[in-house]
Amino acid sequence: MEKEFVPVELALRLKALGFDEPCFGKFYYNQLEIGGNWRNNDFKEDADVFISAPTFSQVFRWFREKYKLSCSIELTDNSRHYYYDFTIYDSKNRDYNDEDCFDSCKRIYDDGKFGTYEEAELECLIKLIEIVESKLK
Amino acid sequence: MEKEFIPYTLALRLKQLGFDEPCFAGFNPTPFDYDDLENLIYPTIHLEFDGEDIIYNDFQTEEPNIWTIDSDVILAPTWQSAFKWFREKYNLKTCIMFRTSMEDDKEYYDWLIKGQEVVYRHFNTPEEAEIACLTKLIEIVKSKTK
Repeated sequence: MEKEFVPVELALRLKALGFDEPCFGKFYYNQLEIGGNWRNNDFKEDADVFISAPTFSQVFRWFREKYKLSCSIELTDNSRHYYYDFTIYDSKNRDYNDEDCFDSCKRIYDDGKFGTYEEAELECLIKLIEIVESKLK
Repeated sequence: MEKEFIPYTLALRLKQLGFDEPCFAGFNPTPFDYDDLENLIYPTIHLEFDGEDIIYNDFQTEEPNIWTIDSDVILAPTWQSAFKWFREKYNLKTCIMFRTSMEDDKEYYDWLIKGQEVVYRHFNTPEEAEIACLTKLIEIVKSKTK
């Protein structure tokens, strides 16, 4: 079950972005503790040592609902290649010049190729965090 | 946090397919006295299998307890754990994609199952797409195991 949770360093960056959804776990001195119902704002007095621990799907939903950033993780599997990659969709904006696509959805591509779904998911989350961090600067 | 879990009806079908991964919560078909929801979620409870039993730790009391597996409790997988289960156990890989309409810029969601040619289109929300996709996965596995 530990694999459902984002790593502590990303949980910390999410906290800095204002993530405050109820979570099934928390990090206490960087150690994951599963169980309970925790929000980052619950730890105001011990904010240095407690971070709420979101699941990957929870965080992806948060980005979708709060920042209109969706993503998909896709597998390329043919005789030459086997890898996962990801695409981020910015649904607030449109791109009418993307010749590779048949719609106006603005895509943020990534060149990475990953051996497992989980690796792609992790990199996708890092990219989402970077995008929002840069917007908030 | 309820949004994290797949609906009761799909959880029940997954149980029938043999899903037995550790879960954060379960559905109880018999309502507790403090809540009249038909199928109550226990988001403060961490469920794990141990052989034939489900061990759950009630965080609020910190007391470990045991339900026998033949109880009516149905494990409530998260979306993430359900899709992962199909990916790893049956090699069924799925993808849900955000799309916009060429005609009117309307937003919708498509999904596909890798290896199948059909792309299922035009769901209004990602949740609708997820439900439809998971339902299809269950149907595929059910038909294979008949």
